[in-house]
Amino acid sequence: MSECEYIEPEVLDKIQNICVFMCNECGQGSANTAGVARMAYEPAIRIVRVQCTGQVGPIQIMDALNNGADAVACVGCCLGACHFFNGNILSMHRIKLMKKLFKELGYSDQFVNQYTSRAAEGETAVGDFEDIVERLANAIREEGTIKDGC
Amino acid sequence: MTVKEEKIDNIKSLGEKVVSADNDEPQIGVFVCHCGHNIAGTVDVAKVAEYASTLPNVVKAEHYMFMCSKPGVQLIKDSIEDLGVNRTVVASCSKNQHGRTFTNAIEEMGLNKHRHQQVNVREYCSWVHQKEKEKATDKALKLVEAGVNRARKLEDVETRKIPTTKAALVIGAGIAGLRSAHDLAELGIPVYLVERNSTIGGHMTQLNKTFPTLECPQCSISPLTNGVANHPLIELHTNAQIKNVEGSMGNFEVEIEIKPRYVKDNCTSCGECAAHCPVEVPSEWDSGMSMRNAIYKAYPQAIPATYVRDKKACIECNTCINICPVQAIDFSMQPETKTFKVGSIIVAAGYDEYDPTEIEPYHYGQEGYEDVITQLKLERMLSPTSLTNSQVLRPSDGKIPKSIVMIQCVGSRNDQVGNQYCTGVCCKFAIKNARIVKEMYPDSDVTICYIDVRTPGLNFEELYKSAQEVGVRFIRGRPSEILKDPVSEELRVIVEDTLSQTPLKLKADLVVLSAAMVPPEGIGPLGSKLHVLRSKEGFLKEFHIKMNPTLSSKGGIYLAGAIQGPKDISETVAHAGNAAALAAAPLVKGYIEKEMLIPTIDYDLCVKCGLCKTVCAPAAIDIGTDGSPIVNEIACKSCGMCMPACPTGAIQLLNFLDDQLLDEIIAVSGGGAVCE
Repeated sequence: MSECEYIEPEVLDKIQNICVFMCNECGQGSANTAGVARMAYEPAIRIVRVQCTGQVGPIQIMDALNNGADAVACVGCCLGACHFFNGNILSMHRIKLMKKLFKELGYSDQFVNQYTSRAAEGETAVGDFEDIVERLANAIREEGTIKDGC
Repeated sequence: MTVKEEKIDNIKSLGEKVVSADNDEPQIGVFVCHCGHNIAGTVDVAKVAEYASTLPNVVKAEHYMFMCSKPGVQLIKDSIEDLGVNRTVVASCSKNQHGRTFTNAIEEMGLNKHRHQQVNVREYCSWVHQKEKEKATDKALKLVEAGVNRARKLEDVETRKIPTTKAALVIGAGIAGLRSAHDLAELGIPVYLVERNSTIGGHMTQLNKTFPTLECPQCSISPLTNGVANHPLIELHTNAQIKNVEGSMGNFEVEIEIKPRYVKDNCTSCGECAAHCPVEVPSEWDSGMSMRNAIYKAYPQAIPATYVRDKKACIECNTCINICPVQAIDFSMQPETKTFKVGSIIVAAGYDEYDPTEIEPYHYGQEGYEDVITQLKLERMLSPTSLTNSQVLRPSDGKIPKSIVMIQCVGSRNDQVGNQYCTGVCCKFAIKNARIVKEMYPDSDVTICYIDVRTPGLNFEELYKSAQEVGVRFIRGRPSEILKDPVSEELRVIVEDTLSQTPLKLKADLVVLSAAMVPPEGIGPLGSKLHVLRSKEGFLKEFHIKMNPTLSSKGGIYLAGAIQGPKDISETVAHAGNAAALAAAPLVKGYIEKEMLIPTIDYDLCVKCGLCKTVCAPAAIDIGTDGSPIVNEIACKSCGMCMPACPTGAIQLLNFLDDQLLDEIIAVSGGGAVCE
């Protein structure tokens, strides 16, 4: 993590739980590959298995944030390679709308993000996780955690 | 396998919830695996097991060295027998690795395999947080809690055996369709082969030579065309089109419309009718390089050999009716529709050659630019049965061209046209044709203007080298324009040689455009009838580009050949063979097994907006007569995409219900609502 960007310990302390919805195919696959390769990432990342990122709706995202998650992310297959045809694209549009909603509500739009990963490459998943933490750290520095604003 | 035999006939019981009736209190057994030191070295497994035992509904929480070993599995079995555990949670490795071991174990004890919840504390926790043991243990606690929460409401999911119809439909009788149909028939499966044109064989019969070995395509394909035409298990319908497709994997009902040939089957193909027909129109099969009559046979070796009347061109002079020695011609024939039941469908609709009229600077098809032709036309000229007697002659004046310029990537790798893809075969056939022409006319200049020469694969680089050796000139650069010299009336190809950075004006007696392969005409309506998705280029979209390039977006419908994307003949044949094998599997087996992990609809909540139907990629949601959605259990792929689309939450995927996910989310998010 520190290779990309230094995150102050006081900011890192505020990152406790990040709820990551990973699809059953490339999402889970890439996290497994990352695990097999022992690629370290932030322990705040908590993975929830869903069938497809297209299954994750606003209800799930809001539930996670409401129950104490600091950020939510969806990790699906690469665009064009969704195992259920276009679930990742659906999810991407949904997350875009969620970001708009967050902005309108006065929160940072970095609390919710969509990513893609490749089952064969653990780096893609770890890269996604690092990006989640980085974006969240930036948001916390600028505006505080989602709990502060609540 | 706990498959309920009596449910086999119960295919149409739609909307019915397939959950076991028992409302027993969840008794959860939690098993934490050490995995040697893999998990225990980082995560305090004893603490995890202890914490798990405090969670509600947990009756047994244990940790063991290797859960996947026989004693480990026995622990699970014993807990089911002794303590009445009815839902199991194993915190060990990934679901892919040992999920099956544990589901098999609980199945042996009579529990449904969907009552098992696998928690991955190795790949997702211990292996990636080896330096942060405390935090890893904390995370493992949360993950196990989430698993227990999720397991609490897990329901039984039935595996159903669905009988399949032992017959297959193949759409398109080109090389791909013929290969698939023949392979299926050889497996003993009755095949309905439907072809839009009046003859079978497709584009391959039009070619002169096939690369890289310069073999005769007609000779390569004729055993297959004859084999298909004479196979007792193949029912061939030419001049036919798909009208309607209903049903799903294993059981389709297909309606086709067969246009009349106006010539009865007793035709001896003597050719008297065509010889006396007064009407002449350009031959489609010959790419317009020769003429045919209004009553015609596409080419002498065509199968079926019966003549066919082109109703649009015919002037109804009745000469053919009078002259036919066997009275085979009948103008009163009517189109007929046929319906048949099939289990699998293979789409082998092939491709069309890109029409370059769209590219204005090349003036293809315009007055005064007759000498700008496509590669397929050049193939027709070179072919042994051509009007030019296999000579390359300028269409404008019939002279042998002194200089031939071939232009690559016409219609492909072109953002202005909208086709970003590389067709992949144009380089190969252009090099092949250039070599053939250069060998025929050593005095002529043959030039290929290319962007990149793409000749991957065995024998193709050798073909490229051999073309260079015989003296074919290669210029790197995409021509900007084809001009006509106003004085000499000769064609000039304007191109920049990007390797030497010199602008060139090439004199050309004949310009050959290597046109791309594009989706065939009418693929849009066909795709919508089959309910399959198309890629943005217009080809039918495969299920997964790497793992299953043959299955379409809908189960039971397979793709063969160039309909999935541009392919050469070898690739097409391999693809078609794969399609046949995949399509045959459920038919040979006689049934498909399907886990009924499907969404259920609460019709009290449903507002009949139809949004679930719009997001359903495999088209598994139908709208009933009263406007309410019905889930097609067999077509459903259990992706759950319909769930968030529903504005009222009426549609819920079994075992992924909103409240089941909520339970898991509460645990992983730290628990305890922030805002009340």
